Amino acid sequence: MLHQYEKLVLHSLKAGSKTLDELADSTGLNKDSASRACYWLKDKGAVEIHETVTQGFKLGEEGKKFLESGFPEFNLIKKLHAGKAFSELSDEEKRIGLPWAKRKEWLEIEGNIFKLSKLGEKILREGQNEVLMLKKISEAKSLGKEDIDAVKALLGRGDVLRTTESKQLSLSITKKGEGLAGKEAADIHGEIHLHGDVGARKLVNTLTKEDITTGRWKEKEYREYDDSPVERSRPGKKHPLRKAISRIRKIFLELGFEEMEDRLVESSFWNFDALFQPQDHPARDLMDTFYLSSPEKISLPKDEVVDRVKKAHEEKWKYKWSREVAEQAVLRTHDTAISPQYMLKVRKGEKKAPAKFFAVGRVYRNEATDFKHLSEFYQVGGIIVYEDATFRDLLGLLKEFYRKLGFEKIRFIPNYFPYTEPSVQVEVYYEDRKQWLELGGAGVFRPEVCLPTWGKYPVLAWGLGLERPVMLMMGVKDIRQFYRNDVSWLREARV
Amino acid sequence: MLPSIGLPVESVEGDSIYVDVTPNRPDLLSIEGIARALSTFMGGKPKHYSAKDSGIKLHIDNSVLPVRPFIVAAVVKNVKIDEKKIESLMQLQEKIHETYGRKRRKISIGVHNLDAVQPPFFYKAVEPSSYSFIPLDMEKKLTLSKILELHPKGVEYGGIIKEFKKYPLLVDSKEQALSFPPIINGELTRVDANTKNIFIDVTGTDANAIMDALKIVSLALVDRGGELFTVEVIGKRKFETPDLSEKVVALPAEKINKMLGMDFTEAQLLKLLAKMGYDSSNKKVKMPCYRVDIMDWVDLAEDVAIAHGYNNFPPSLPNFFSIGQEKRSELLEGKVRELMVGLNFLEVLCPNLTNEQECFGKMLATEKPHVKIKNPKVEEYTMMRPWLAPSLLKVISESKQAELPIRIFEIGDAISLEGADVKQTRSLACVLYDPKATFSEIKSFADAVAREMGWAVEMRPCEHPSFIKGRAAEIVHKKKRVGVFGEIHPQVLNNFQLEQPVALLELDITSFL
Repeated sequence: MLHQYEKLVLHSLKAGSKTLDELADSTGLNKDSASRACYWLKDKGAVEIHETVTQGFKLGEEGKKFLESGFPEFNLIKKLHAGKAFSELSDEEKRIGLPWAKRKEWLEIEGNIFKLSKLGEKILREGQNEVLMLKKISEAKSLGKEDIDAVKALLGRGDVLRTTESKQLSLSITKKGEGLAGKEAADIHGEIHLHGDVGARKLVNTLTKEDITTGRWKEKEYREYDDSPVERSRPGKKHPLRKAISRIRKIFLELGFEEMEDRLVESSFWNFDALFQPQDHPARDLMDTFYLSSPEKISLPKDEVVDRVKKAHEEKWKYKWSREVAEQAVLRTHDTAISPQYMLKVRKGEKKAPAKFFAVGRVYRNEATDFKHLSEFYQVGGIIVYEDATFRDLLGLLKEFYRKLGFEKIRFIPNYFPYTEPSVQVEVYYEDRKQWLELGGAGVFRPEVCLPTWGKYPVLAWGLGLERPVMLMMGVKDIRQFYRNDVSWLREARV
Repeated sequence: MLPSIGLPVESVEGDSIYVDVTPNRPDLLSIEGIARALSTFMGGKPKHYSAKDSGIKLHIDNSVLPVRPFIVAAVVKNVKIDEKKIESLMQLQEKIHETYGRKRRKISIGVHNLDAVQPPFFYKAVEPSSYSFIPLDMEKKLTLSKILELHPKGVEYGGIIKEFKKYPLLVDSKEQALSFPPIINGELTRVDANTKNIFIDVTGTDANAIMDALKIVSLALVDRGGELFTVEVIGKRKFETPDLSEKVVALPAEKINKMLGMDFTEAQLLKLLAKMGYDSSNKKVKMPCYRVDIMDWVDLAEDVAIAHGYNNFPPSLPNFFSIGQEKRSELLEGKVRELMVGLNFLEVLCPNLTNEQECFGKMLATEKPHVKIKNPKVEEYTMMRPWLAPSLLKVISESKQAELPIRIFEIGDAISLEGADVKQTRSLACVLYDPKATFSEIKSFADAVAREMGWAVEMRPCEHPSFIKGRAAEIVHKKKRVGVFGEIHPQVLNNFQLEQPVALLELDITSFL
């Protein structure tokens, strides 16, 4: 099916090529809509578009004045003919009219006396064709051959005439377009009669209710469809990242995980301190973290967990821990920020151990964006809170997760995070590119993280990237593509 | 090989290999350190280090205590050094400064030609304009305050000490400057290819961290054939540095095995630890003196895992049963999303980060309390969005080439401030961009959403600055406004450079939980 506009345009162009103005006139569309429809049809190969530039004229300031009150030289000879004295002429008639009247040989000079020439008398009788030409231009009528000299004469004279350039689209229908138009017409009229070889047999386009119920269909033959292009149907769709999130959530739910309720704005305490990141850690630097000016602080939980975290920092990192620093509000830099809060819930009995938790959410890094980096992106985080959990379980779980996501080959490489030990970097092998790609981090939370919050040990934890595997699956090269939301791209995007 | 000891290879160019050193392992910041780790990993014997007394004393004056209280030092004699080695030594220092040393605030290292100066040494604080010397890479004497002004390192690191009235200084017995920590050394003690004996000083704000740095730098020189000597540091107490003692702990075999999920014998564990540089005797583990990152038994466990090879662990799964449970808000928003897709809308995902102009200015809306960024890097991102409508208008303004009509929606976070509390809710917003987009059409969608979701709502006319007067309505649930819809004001359309009418709906779906 074609868009309404497209149908109108095809129909009109079938009768002959047109300029955009003519097309707009004949279809009743405004120029905007008509041109848009033409470009759509061009994509479908149904219409050809040529751009031509036409020169035109419009009146300048002087031109408008002359049209209204006459050319000064004309007014001059009129007054002289009426017997007015030279002193009675206006300033303009003297200054501009006199030289022009002389140049045009409307005046003859005998001694000190001006006299109308034969030509001048004729002009006075028949009128000045330059005025007629100006009139035509002001009324946007097309100029005739007789106007050419007048235009030439006036173009060089002050601000009488201005040239204009207008771009005009000239539009014509292609073979394919004719096919489309024919089909559309057939669709509209329902039935067409074919003569010649087919004789008087009726070829029918549409199967109607009447045909079906009365049995008339038995007498009819239905027109075959050709392979001419059809309009694209535009279904509603989920965003590609959202589809990936659904898939990932499903995997964790299948594996028996409970989804955590999380927050984007956190205190530094939960984002850093509870995860055993010392307060002078480079990751807490202004360069990497979005700190907030409103709210500037987030109050710490009224719970002994604060003192226990403080103690862990002071004993192990050997510095004076500051409450103020821990209260600073941040946009969370990783979704692991929610994990120690759920570990505390387990300690308090609000959740029961052993437990598996996960979350998919946005995280923030205060860094310049480029094709590989965003300041706002998704992370897939999770923890297993279980006294008998092992490092092997962590590796097994990550393997299972990526296998379900379609990555069969996965490997683990030692890495470092202040809050896990051992720490793992997860890489998957991407067959199409024959390349290992880093997808995230994982590890066993240190006792310094587990004991102040949960009170027991160990907890398995991971924070994995979302955009990168989706980029791989979709062949997207620039991570920013996901958030640019170009509607045309989204319409075509497939995961 | 490098990745398996925890050194991911960043890139290989010709004969050069670039590796990522994680910040917990400053001992791997030098070629010598990496060679040391590789040697034991491939079966070499763990190394032990010792030092003789140099007889050199370093006195700490009380004046420096409020400014930069800690200093340690060492002497390495008979080094054979060339330009290349000097460059690698500089690189090691700079790397320690940047990460472990928190850009010299916590740790600052000076390496000197010992033979150019006369011990004992004195560490003190002086008036910035009272003392001058020739700093490295300059030709003239400058006062300390001039160095902060004129020397590139002074400009870069001056901030660390500017707040103090007196600046730290390390001089010899003839009052000649070795260094002006943490800024710059003196030209006098410059190390070059002819240097035989080296004096290393490390100053800072953390007594442990500077000792770690001293060990790492001096052992790198020892591995190149130098002989290590201690320096006696005399302040409130006397002690010899560097401290090369090796901590000895009982092998926590059971804990390690339980956490890793393995059944290594003690002999196996000790063998694995030996690969990582640990020596042992009688089931006791000796921690290498340069492994400054070891805090607890879990650090040993990680080294066992690294030595065994992460990929050699048979994967397993946690052996308890649990039931999957999605969060309530996701359940709800999943239903709304299905509905919107069914109504032929295309989903978009926009950043929550935005700016005041986009969010209020262009929308003709009055500014409300919102979550503001303290340290924005770009003008575009200065706040978190309290509503989704502006994001969607922006999407359309950036999708000019797309065929009409456009119908898009987003379910996203709306973040606002209520008093001092951050309120984070999920919002649905949808937009019709179409020459025929009208109030009635968007109302029919508002109606469909409420009806299909079974939400009891009331819709009544309202005034909203972003909408055309008389063509806006609010959605009310339990006597609270939870949403708004209507035809967007032409001035707003102009602001977003849109050329067709827009009908828009925004609804807080969290309020129906």
